[in-house]
Parts: sequence; C-alpha cells; structure tokens
Amino acid sequence: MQATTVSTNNAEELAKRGNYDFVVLGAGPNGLGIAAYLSKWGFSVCVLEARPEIGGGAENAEPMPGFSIDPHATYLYGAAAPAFEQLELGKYGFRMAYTKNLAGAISPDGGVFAAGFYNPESLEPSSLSSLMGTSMAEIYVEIQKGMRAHARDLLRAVYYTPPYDEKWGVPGDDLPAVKVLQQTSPVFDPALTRDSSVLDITEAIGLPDPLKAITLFGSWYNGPHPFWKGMSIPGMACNLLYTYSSGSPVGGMHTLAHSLARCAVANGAKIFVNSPVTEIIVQDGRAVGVRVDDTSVLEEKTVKANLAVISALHVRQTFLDLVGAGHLAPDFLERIKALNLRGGSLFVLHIITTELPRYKGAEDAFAGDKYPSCTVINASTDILMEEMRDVYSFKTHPTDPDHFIVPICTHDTYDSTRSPSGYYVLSPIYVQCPVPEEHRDGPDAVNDAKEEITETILRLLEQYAPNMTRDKIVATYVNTPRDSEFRNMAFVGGNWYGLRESQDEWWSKRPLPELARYRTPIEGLYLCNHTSHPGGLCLIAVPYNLMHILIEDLEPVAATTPGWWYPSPWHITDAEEGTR
Amino acid sequence: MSSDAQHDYDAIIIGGGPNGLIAASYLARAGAHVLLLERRIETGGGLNTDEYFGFRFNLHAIYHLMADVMPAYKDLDLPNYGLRYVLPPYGAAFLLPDNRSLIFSNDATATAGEIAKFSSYDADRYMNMWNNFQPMLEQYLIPLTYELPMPPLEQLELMEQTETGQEMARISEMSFVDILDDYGFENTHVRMALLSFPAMWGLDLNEPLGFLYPLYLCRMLNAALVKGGSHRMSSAIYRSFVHAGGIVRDACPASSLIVEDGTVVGVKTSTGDTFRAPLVISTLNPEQTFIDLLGEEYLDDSLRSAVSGWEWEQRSLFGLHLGIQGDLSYKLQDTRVDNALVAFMGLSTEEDLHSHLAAVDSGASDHAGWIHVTVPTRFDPTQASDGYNTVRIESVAPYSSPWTEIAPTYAESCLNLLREYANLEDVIVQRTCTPVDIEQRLTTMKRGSIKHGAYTPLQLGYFRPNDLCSQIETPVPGLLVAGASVYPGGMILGGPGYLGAKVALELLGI
Ligand SMILES: Cc1cc2nc3c(=O)[nH]c(=O)nc-3n(C[C@H](O)[C@H](O)[C@H](O)COP(=O)(O)OP(=O)(O)OC[C@H]3O[C@@H](n4cnc5c(N)ncnc54)[C@H](O)[C@@H]3O)c2cc1C
Ligand SMILES: Cc1cc2nc3c(=O)[nH]c(=O)nc-3n(C[C@H](O)[C@H](O)[C@H](O)COP(=O)(O)OP(=O)(O)OC[C@H]3O[C@@H](n4cnc5c(N)ncnc54)[C@H](O)[C@@H]3O)c2cc1C
Repeated sequence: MQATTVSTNNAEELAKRGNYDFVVLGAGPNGLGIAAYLSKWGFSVCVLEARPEIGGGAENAEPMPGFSIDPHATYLYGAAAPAFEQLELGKYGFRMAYTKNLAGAISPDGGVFAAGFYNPESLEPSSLSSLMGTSMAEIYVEIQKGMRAHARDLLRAVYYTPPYDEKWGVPGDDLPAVKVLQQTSPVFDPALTRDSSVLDITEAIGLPDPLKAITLFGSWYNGPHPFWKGMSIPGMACNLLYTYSSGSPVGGMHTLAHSLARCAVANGAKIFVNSPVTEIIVQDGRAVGVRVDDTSVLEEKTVKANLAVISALHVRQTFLDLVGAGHLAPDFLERIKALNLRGGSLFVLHIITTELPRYKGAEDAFAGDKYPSCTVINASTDILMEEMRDVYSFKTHPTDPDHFIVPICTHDTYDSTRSPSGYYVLSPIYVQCPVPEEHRDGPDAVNDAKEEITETILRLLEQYAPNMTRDKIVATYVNTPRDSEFRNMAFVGGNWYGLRESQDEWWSKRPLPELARYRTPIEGLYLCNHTSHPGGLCLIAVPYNLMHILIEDLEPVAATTPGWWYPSPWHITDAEEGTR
Repeated sequence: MSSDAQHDYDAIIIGGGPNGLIAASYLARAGAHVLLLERRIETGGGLNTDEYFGFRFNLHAIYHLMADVMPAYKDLDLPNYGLRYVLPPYGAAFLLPDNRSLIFSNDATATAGEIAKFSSYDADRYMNMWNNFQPMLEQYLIPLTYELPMPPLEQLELMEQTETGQEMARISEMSFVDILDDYGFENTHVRMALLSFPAMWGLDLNEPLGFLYPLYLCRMLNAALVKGGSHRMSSAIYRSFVHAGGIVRDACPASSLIVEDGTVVGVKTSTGDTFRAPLVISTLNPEQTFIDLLGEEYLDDSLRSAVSGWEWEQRSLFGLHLGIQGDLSYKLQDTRVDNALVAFMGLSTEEDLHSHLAAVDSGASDHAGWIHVTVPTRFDPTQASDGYNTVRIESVAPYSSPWTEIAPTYAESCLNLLREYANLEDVIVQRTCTPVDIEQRLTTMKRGSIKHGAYTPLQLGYFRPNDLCSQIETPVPGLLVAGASVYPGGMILGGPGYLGAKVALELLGI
C-alpha cells in the first residue's frame, strides 16, 4: 500500500472531507465485521449499503406486528470467533439465546433422535448403543468428545485462519485443521479423513438413520455437500460449529448485525444505507474509491478510499459489475463467470401458529427442555439422496413429499422476543432448490410454485405432528431464492453461501486461487464476502482472516497493531513464507 | 463523566422511539454514559420502515412537520449521519367528487389563488389567517415546542405582551371550527379542506385546541418525507448516539423499575438484566411507566389519580400500503395533484366531514369513507425498485371495530375509494396496518393511540401528561418522563426527547 497517507489519528478529519481510509461495500455481517475491526483500529471507514437496512443475510422481518421471522440466516454458530472478544460485541449489546437441544430428527418410519448428540452432558454411549451397537457408539462418542474438547482450536483452524497460498505447496498434513485433528481424534487417520467425504465418515462409523441423515444434512445445510471428497473435515466441523454454540442472538440474527454496526459507529465509522455502489474506481491499476448510485443520500457520488476498497459483495458482482472489464484479464473474468453457484438456493417458509408442533412418537424425547430448536422431519438418508439429486440435476423443486427432508426451526422455546404469548413462529423452514437460472422450468418456477410447495410442507408437518391442523395456522410467509436475490443483490442465485463449498472452491482455492488471500489483481481492492474462505455463515471469520492480510499490507502506514488484536496461531505471512 | 460506583450508567432511557433516541443522543453527546433500552428488535418506534418484496412501507409516521426546525436536526448533526429530507412541491390536495380539486402549498398566495376558484372571499380570509399565523409560529409556537410548558396563567401573561401573542391567546380558546368561523370562511369545500388538517390526526374539531391549528396547517404544508423512509431518521439519531458512546440494547424490554428508599435507581428487563443509574427516563405511556414499570404502590394519591385518569385517543388510523407496478395518477385534469404530498378524497363538504367523524366515533365504521393518500416514491424513488411505486392510504378509524375480521374488506373499501379517483396499475403486494396492529407493534400506542394519549385540553400543554409530570421530572425521584405523552406531545416533533435531555443534563450537572 502507498504510504502517502495519513496517520490514523486524523480519521475524523478525513471523513469530513468525504475521504476515508477504507471504503467497505455492503453491510452484511462480513462488511460490518471488517468495518468494526478497522474503525476500532483507528482508521476512518465508510460502509456503503444498497438496501435500506444494514444486515445483509443477518436480517429479521416483522410480517405481522409482534412477530419476528428470519428470512435468511437463523442460527449463529460463531462462538469460536475471536471477534467477540476483539470487538467486545457484548458491550455493543450482543447477547445469545442458547437452546438446550439444537436438533431433533424423525425418520419416515418413526425413528426419533434427539438431544444426546447435541448435548455434551448426555453424550453417553448408552444413549446411542440402541441405534448403532455398543462398540460403534463408543467410538462415535469418543470422536465427538475429543473434537469437542478441542472444538475451539479445530474451528479456528478450519475457519479462522487465512488460507495458505496454493503456490507455497504446504503439504496436506501441515494444514491447520489436519494438525488439530491429529491431536483431538487419534482414531482418525488424518490423511484418510482429509481426502474423504462426510458420507464416507458416517459410513465408516456406521451411523444409522436418522442420525446419519441429519449428520449429512447438517453438513449440506452448512456448506460442504456430504458427497464431496476432500470436504469431510469442514463437513464434520459444521457439526461442531453448531454443537459448540447452538442458538441465535436474542431477538434474532439481525441483532448480530446491530452489535457489529454499533462497534463500527462507536469507533467513528460512517454507514450509509440506500447507497448502492455502481462502480469501483480504478486508476493506474489501483482501486481509489467508488461511485454510488445517483439515488444515494450522499450528495457527493464519489467516495474516495485512501488505503483500500473492500468489497463485501459477491465476487461476481465485484468483478463482473463493479470493476470495469478493461482493468481485468479476460481469462480471469471468464473464470469468475464460471464459478459454480449450485446447491445453496433455499426456499424459506415461515409459519405463525397457535401451538408448537407435537411430533408423533417424540413425546418423551422432545419433552420440556429437550424440545428441539430445529426438528428435521422426513430424516432419512434415502430421501436426502433423492433431494440432492433433484437439486443438483436442476430437475425439480420440492413438491413430492418423498423427495425432501424438512428442518422446522423455532426459537420460541428459548427466546421470548420472537412472538406474542400464545403464538409461535416456526421460522425458518428451509428447503433446498435448484438455482433459479438453472431450473428446468425456468427461473420463476419456484416462485410460481410457492403455494404448492407450502401446501406440501404443511401436509408433511401435519403428518409428523398431527396437532398441526389448519386451524392452528395463523399465517404463512415464503421467500424463495429469487426473492432473496431480489432483496439482497449479493445473494446471487439466492445462494446462501455464495459459491458452493467443494474442494475446488475452498481454502486456498476459494473463490479462485489468486483471490484466496483476499487480495485481488487490483491493488488496493480486497474481498470480504462469504464467497471468500471460509464461505457462508455469519461467523465473522472472513473479516478476521482479512485483518491478517491487511496488517501485512498496511505495515508502512500503521506501525503497530492494536493491543486487542491476536492473529491465528497457524497464520503464515507472505513475508514468512518467502523466508521458509 | 465519571459515574458513581453504584451506577452502571448516568442515565437509562426506556424506549427507542424518536423521543427516546433524541434524549439519549443529547445526553451521550454531552458526555453522559447512557443506556437505551428498546423492547423491539429495532429502535425507531413510530419511525418505522418495513421492506416487503422490495417495497419500503412506512407503516407508522411519514409526514415530518417539524423536519429541520427541530433542534435535534442540527444539534445532533443528523445530516452527517445520513438524514436527508425531501420536500414535495405541494403539501396537500383535496379531490372532490365533482372532479374539482383544491391544492395547498406553503406558498400562501398560490394557495389563495386556488381557494379563489371556490370563493374569492375565502381566498382573502386565507391570506389574512396565514399572515396572522406566521408570527405566531415564529415567535411562540415553534420555539415553545422546545421549552418546558408554563402554567396556563403564566403563559397567558407572556402572550399578553405582544399583539401576536394576544391574537394567539384568543384563538387558543377556540375550536378548529370556531377559528374558521372567526376568520370568516364561508365556502363549505374550503372549510372541509381546512378542517382536514387537524382531522387527519384524529383531533376533535370541536374541542378548544385552537393553538394547535397554525402548527397543523402551516407545518403540514411544510412537511417533508425522509429520504429512504422514516426509519432512516431514527437510524441517524441512533448513529449519533452510538458514535457518542451510547449503549443500545434492543430486544430488551424494561420490565420494572428498581426503587430504593422511594427513589428510582435502575431498571430490570424481561431478559433478566439489571441496570442501575441515578436517572431513568421513560418514554413510554403513563400507564406503562407508572403502573407496569414503577408499580401503583409508589404513587401518591394525586399521581395515581392523574395516571388512572389518562385517556387514550378516540380515533386511530387504518393504513393500507400498496406496492404497485407502474404509476399512480389521479383522474383529475389538474395533474398537479399528483405532486401533492397528501391527497384527500371521499368527502366534499364540511358536513360530510363532521358526519364522517361522527360515524367513526360511533365505532360503527366498517368501511373507509375518507382517505388520505401519499405516493412516497413519487418524491423519493429509492423506496421502491425502478418502475414500481408504493402507495400509502390512511383512514381515520376507531380502535373498537373487529379488525381481525374486517381488515380485508376495510382495505378493499380503501382501494375502491382510491380507484374512483386514481388510475393505478397492478397492485403487487398490499399490507394493512389496523389500529390493533399499531398497538401490537408499539405497545406504547395503546388502543391505537398514535400520540400515546388523547389530545384534550386536560392532557395538553402544562397538563401533559399531568401537572405533576409535565416538567419532565416526576414526583418520584430519579424518574423522568419524555415520550409522546409528555409536553409538547406526540408525532415526530422531537420535543419531549429534547426537553427530557435538557432537564436530565441539568440534574446530572453536565
Ligand atoms: C436462506 C438463507 C439461510 C441462511 N441461514 C444461515 C444460518 O442459519 N446461519 C448462518 O450463519 N448463516 C446463514 N446463511 C448465510 C449467511 O446469511 C451469509 O453467509 C452471510 O449473510 C454472508 O455475509 P456477507 O456479509 O458476506 O454477505 P451478505 O450478507 O450477502 O451482505 C452483502 C450486503 O451487500 C449489499 N449489497 C449488494 N449489492 C450492493 C451494492 N452494489 N452496493 C452496496 N451494497 C450492496 C447487500 O444488500 C447486503 O447487505 C443463510 C443464508 C440464506 C440466504
Ligand atoms: C399509523 C401511524 C401514523 C403516524 N403518522 C405520523 C406522521 O405522519 N407524522 C408524525 O409526526 N407522527 C406520526 N405518527 C405518530 C408518531 O409515530 C408517534 O407520535 C411518535 O412515534 C411517538 O414517539 P415516542 O418516541 O414518544 O414513542 P414511540 O414512537 O411509541 O416509541 C416508544 C418505543 O418504546 C418501546 N417500548 C415499549 N415498551 C417498552 C419497554 N417495556 N421497554 C423498552 N422499550 C419499550 C417501543 O417499542 C417503541 O420503540 C403516526 C403514528 C402511527 C401509529
């Protein structure tokens, strides 16, 4: 970075001139996260958001007065994030509502699984032996306990470390996650684990349904497709993510965005909503600022960045829409265009009811505190297979009840702020769909089938929870992948994780090898969206990782890093790598 | 400022509506350590903008009568935090069944010209009245909105000192109808229009509330919209607060006040937190503040009777919010009506208005006979996507109708009435906001009371919320009040919050 700029203490002064050290595009959790980090460090930061409201995927809506639904993200799995300490989010109002039991599952043949898997105290082999036999149960519990004891380390190794540059050729066994796993679960052969899929692992252990189904489901719904080879570590880490911190911020995911935004604003950052960015201005190969749409509240439509422009938008938007094609190599652009969106488009249903579902056969398993926050019905591996095939072959969307499994979430049992007393919100209910653009029946197919799909889900719900008759249902709301994209331009394809999380789009390769360390071919332009490692979810991981890179690049400008900062123990700087 | 070891904060504000936010921000910017508690997930209170399929609906407040004249605008540096106002060319248009229209703007001469099409006599009356009102607004009504209320006699004394004051004192005792009689308006259409300015807020046209008239007429003709939606205003105040070190807790309802030795020393929340501060400022309604949070046992007889006598507004609002494809244009020849901030339709004469309001008050109204309509996107396209518009239809309505049952047909009647006067293309989405919805979203607005309580002479001025509490301080040490139920009252005036901060700063010695 050019050292022609500014020491950090005249941040306010700069902002007054319409110049900022950093301009951040997009006020989703990742954009807000990096804005909070940089402004707390002392830089002047301007965040530009297209929508009327900050939050991106961390959003809540109130479709009926007094009821809060989560149109997009609902569970916060970020407890391992250094940001909670580093940014002091508690001070900025962040509070978590924990569930005692995150998930339950019921298979079509009436098999019920609850609590044990997700609740460390009750994680005893005896609770599983009926499902998988004593010796397997013991191994399974050992693995779970081992991983859990080192959960934070493992999660930080998987999510909270900047990817290594592919060019360094770091051997597979030296990757942070593999190193941690070696300590935690000696039963695993790290090399085997590294190259296998989540499905391989569940089969090796011999997990029975519905436990197997929700393990696969857990991986799929949190990133890595369970069939993808080489993704078993992140796939199993997903399972850890939600056991490590299961629940949601009090009031809903949007309050996470609030606490990040407050940290940023309290430290002097400016956030402007209704200000879509239309161009990243590049001069002499360097990003020097952005242009906002004429409709923005900013009178001055050009916002200058002295140090860097940070795009927390989808990587496709960043390079295909905002940086002029002339500044980028044609083959680079082609590779951006070819990035694969498949597998993360969700149909989301929200139901307001006068009763909680009482699931057949699960009366005891789900009694009291054990009532799951997320109950997965139709939990069978066979059905999951059908569903994946439908979604990936772009064939159909879920109207055949034998073809999809349904997670039914509610936070009402541990967060009283979601609905007035006497009512419940079953929100969200997620169902995977093909990417709209690739749907066999055209991009509007799922939108056209809203009612049909809703009807199927309601019937399925009633089948599993006979008390869920229509008279208990006050209202239903739907947002489809198209709706999500319409609402948030950064959700390209309505995709919840931006780009699929396969071996080719993960770690050193996400979104492309030369972009993996958040730098771009344009000097002064950095990436900070879930299309970078470690992908989707509100983990405040991308900003933390990006900080490592910025610290390296900012060295000439900011002599010291702040006292509250600590890097990942596995981080390798470019300079270090050069001397290795 | 350094806090007492016993205290977590210098002040705790309950309620993050416009008043709570303004009070909080003033205090924090002055150096106090302040906590703001909000029950909902989002601060803003009546400053709400909800997105629905790309349409931004301002479900509650939308017309900003005091926009940039409120001290908070400059004092809190709100433009720097993203607040921008949009001023439509015409304030109001009245669409009559016979295809005529009457257009009002803040250009009095032009408005008189419009009135002259109905009655040249009334046009003169209008100029006369308008010219009388301007000095009242400048010398008294606007500045006094931001000063603590005086006892009636003192206030009268003050006004007796100038000619303007004397004129104001004179009309203060009158009802809105009396004022029109007094200024000599004759034409029934003109009178209907002039009375609509207070009537649209549910005010009683026959109560002696005359001092409000210059504000409701002239400020409405200066009313602005907030660019991006009303919620943007609350965000700007909120950011100014957070930037100054203020702490916000949302999804964190206050559940009780902590009282020690008769003094309020803190707040408990229903999320199980306890916060202590030497000052607690409630912006909730009197019933919530004194009964639900404080507890009746702490009220002496006079305060108890003042609180239990609190009256809710008799009239509330029904809102229908449309997201439409294409434009809305009125069928009238005069296309200027399209550019009016608010278009009134459904009534023709003053008698129509009175009998309409009587029907509302009887609680019998199951359909809308009188609506006022705003197309915010006409002036601020950012509130919908390109090629789409939002339409806000509002109707003065009783709380007591069986809203859950009749909301759809009532909405239909609003739409039918609008279609009589306007061409509108495809309605893509629609949302209703009944008086019951208002109270469910904002518990402060009990019985759909958008100003937290009725505007009657006994609940206004020095008596709002009562003569014991209208100076912000209450008889209970440590407890202050500063919401819409406190002088100068409801709507987005930025008054109670400003005064609350002023008094609190004095008490804190800042
Ligand atoms: C249906 C669904 C369910 C999900 N469930 C979960 C969950 O349970 N738990 C979880 O942790 N995560 C979940 N996620 C994923 C999570 O929401 C995302 O991974 C996360 O929001 C990504 O954050 P981000 O900041 O990278 O991008 P985003 O949240 O997409 O934010 C990008 C921001 O940029 C703005 N923007 C777009 N274009 C422009 C422009 N031109 N100029 C300025 N601003 C622009 C957008 O409006 C948006 O605010 C879910 C997502 C979806 C869609
Ligand atoms: C349909 C409608 C249309 C309106 N139109 C206009 C208009 O166009 N122009 C105008 O000027 N005014 C308008 N108003 C009136 C205006 O919105 C209100 O008078 C104004 O919002 C009052 O401000 P406030 O801060 O005193 O209270 P509120 O805005 O009511 O805010 C109070 C806050 O306190 C919170 N709260 C409640 N209980 C608790 C608790 N226990 N703990 C913590 N927090 C709590 C609430 O959630 C709320 O956020 C309208 C109102 C409605 C309903």
